[in-house]
Amino acid sequence: MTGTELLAALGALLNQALDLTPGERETWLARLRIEQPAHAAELDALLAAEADLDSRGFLSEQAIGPLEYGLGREDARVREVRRLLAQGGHP
Amino acid sequence: VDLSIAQLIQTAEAGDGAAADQLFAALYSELHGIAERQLHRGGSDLTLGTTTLLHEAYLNISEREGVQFATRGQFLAYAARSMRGLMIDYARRRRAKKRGGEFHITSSGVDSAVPDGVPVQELEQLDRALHTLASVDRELAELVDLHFFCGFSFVELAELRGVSERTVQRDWRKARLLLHRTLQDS
Repeated sequence: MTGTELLAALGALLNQALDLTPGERETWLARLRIEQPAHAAELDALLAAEADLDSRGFLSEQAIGPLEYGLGREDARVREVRRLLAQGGHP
Repeated sequence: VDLSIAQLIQTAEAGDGAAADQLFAALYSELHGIAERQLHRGGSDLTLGTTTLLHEAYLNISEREGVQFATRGQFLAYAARSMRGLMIDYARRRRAKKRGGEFHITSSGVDSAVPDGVPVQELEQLDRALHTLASVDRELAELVDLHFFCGFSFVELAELRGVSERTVQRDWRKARLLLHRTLQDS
């Protein structure tokens, strides 16, 4: 299995795992460990890593600050664009 | 033949790789141009956040080309990937200026007021991981571009995608875990 195939398989399993309550997930994982042990091990490791990612702040803040232009004041023109976009309309 | 950005989006959506490359180059140029104009306009209280920059690009392109995009989400998804490139280039430039000892004063005043954010090397690794993720699930990669690189909130993204905020949060968790897994391999 290639890296992208594994990633796709893990993505499909995460779709199921993340929608379950903790109790439901444990039951589901127990079955997966029997039916697909290799994938289950990968998934177990990923889910276990989530708390560590939280504590490390992985992707928790924006990439870089404002693009050296100061601090975000928006002018009337931009507010108008935001209003139009919020309505689903077009300028 | 020069195609408009709207035409390039349409062609890229149909699977034309060359059109997609042209599209990202055109959007990058648009975003970079707006950012540079703002920089030269100066003024201590005038700034440009990334979401504002994207909205400004949307307005400029719509007005100039007189087009309506199929959905604003479609436009923003493409523009957000270009924004990722722009952000990484700015981070590289910032690093180069620091190395050269020229990084003291910016158009907005004192450099130290600008947060450093994520180190350039990590951004470059993340960029490569996002390419891999996009090959598996393009929407997840777009979500990371829009939230992490462009600053859209989960509420805004839910509205943009016509889904619940809970769905966006679930997708974000998934994207983050898959990126973590990809980075482990790199």
